[in-house]
Amino acid sequence: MSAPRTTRSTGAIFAWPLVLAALSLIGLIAGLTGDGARDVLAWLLLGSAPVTIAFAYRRTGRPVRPIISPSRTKAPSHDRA
Amino acid sequence: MSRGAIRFWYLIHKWSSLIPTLFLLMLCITGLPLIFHDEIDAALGEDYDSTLAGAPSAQGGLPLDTMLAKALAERPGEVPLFMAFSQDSPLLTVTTGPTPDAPGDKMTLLFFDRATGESLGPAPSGGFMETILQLHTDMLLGLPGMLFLGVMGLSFVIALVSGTVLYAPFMRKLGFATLRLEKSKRVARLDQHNMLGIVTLAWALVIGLTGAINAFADPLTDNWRDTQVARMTSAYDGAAPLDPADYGSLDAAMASARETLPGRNPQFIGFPGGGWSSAHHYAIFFQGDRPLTQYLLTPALVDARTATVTDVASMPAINQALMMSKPLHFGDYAGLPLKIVWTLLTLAMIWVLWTGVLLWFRRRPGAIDRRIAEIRSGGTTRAPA
Repeated sequence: MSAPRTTRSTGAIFAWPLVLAALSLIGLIAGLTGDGARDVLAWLLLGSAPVTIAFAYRRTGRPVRPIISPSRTKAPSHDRA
Repeated sequence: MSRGAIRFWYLIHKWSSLIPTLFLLMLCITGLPLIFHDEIDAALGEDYDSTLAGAPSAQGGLPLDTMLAKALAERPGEVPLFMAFSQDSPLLTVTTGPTPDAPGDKMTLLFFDRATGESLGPAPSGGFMETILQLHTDMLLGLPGMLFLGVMGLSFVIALVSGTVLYAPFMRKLGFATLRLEKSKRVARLDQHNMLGIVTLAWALVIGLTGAINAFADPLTDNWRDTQVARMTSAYDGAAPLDPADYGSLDAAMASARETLPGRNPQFIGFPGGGWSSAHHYAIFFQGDRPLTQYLLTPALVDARTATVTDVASMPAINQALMMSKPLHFGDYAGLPLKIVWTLLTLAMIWVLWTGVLLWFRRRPGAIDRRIAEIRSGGTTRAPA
């Protein structure tokens, strides 16, 4: 993803991180306070973090195991972003 | 953010993460199998909870006095230290030792079936999972190792906070979850370190804090016994510790305690003179009766000779936090899918730690000023050749 030209405010920088933190914490507590539906809620809410990570790597158009091989960095970019 | 402020937070982040890194990597790696301890125990045939049939030992079965007599017959000359109950199966465990205040390495854990009275022998010890748990808890070094890892956990929390502060100037010109993997290795590492760190932040904070609380479990329990239990049993001050030969009926004690706390099931009994009771009481720890409070134990102190309830009181907030910390730390409270999420988050954490080490180790020559410029620019500053 290309960088925005403008400088972002602190609020904008932390908007997504705050949403994810809230989802994770609610998920952690939901699982602890009951079984059944609350467990499913815990999986979904806490699962938002790994799903975000998967999307972030996918967006770069590369496999989820990045870097390591220097030859790859010289390959033609198949960047979709 | 001013250069001075970035410099301050950079130094905090560097040292608070560099010092515990090796230990945190060890904790992540030993933590991975521990997430699945139920499944692994079951596969190794050490999971009695799923194989014994009958009423849960926390609710009923043979008399407790009968079970205790069987345990003491297996360990002649020893005294009972703990009796613990299962909420799912007739499994009942009895811990014995040479003296009421015996240390952990002198204790013997015996398994019984409370439905049939059958002895299942001593707990399997020295197994793979036990060694992993020991490494994870205290690196096989006992209380000093435990406290040391607790301090490393607190340092990790400081690293998370300082890393979050530095995230703001770094991301001024970058969109959320930007990964510039095609640029230099250093930029790729910086972006991954930042993205994985910020996405897993809340979970990592919970793991770090609950881990640190668990590490201070022994002093917190000692403190509870020396303050709250001492106050509750002040009437016994000056009386000589109760001799194990004078211990009265467990069943009578349990009946009085259940009368005081109806509708609840016991989790374990601390015998007199041990770390979890006074010198004169059976401390019977009852679970709460709702899903959330099942982790919060309420001890009933029952006179071990007369079976009368001396006092019942919730534990102090810090000890309750300790009890909630165990499930929150291990992630084993909401089924297999949560364990899988826990595993993925732990793998992400290992990658954050590893990229952090590489960012420090493979840094370009040039001192701290270049690090600060890197954070202020979002990693786009080029070092002069």
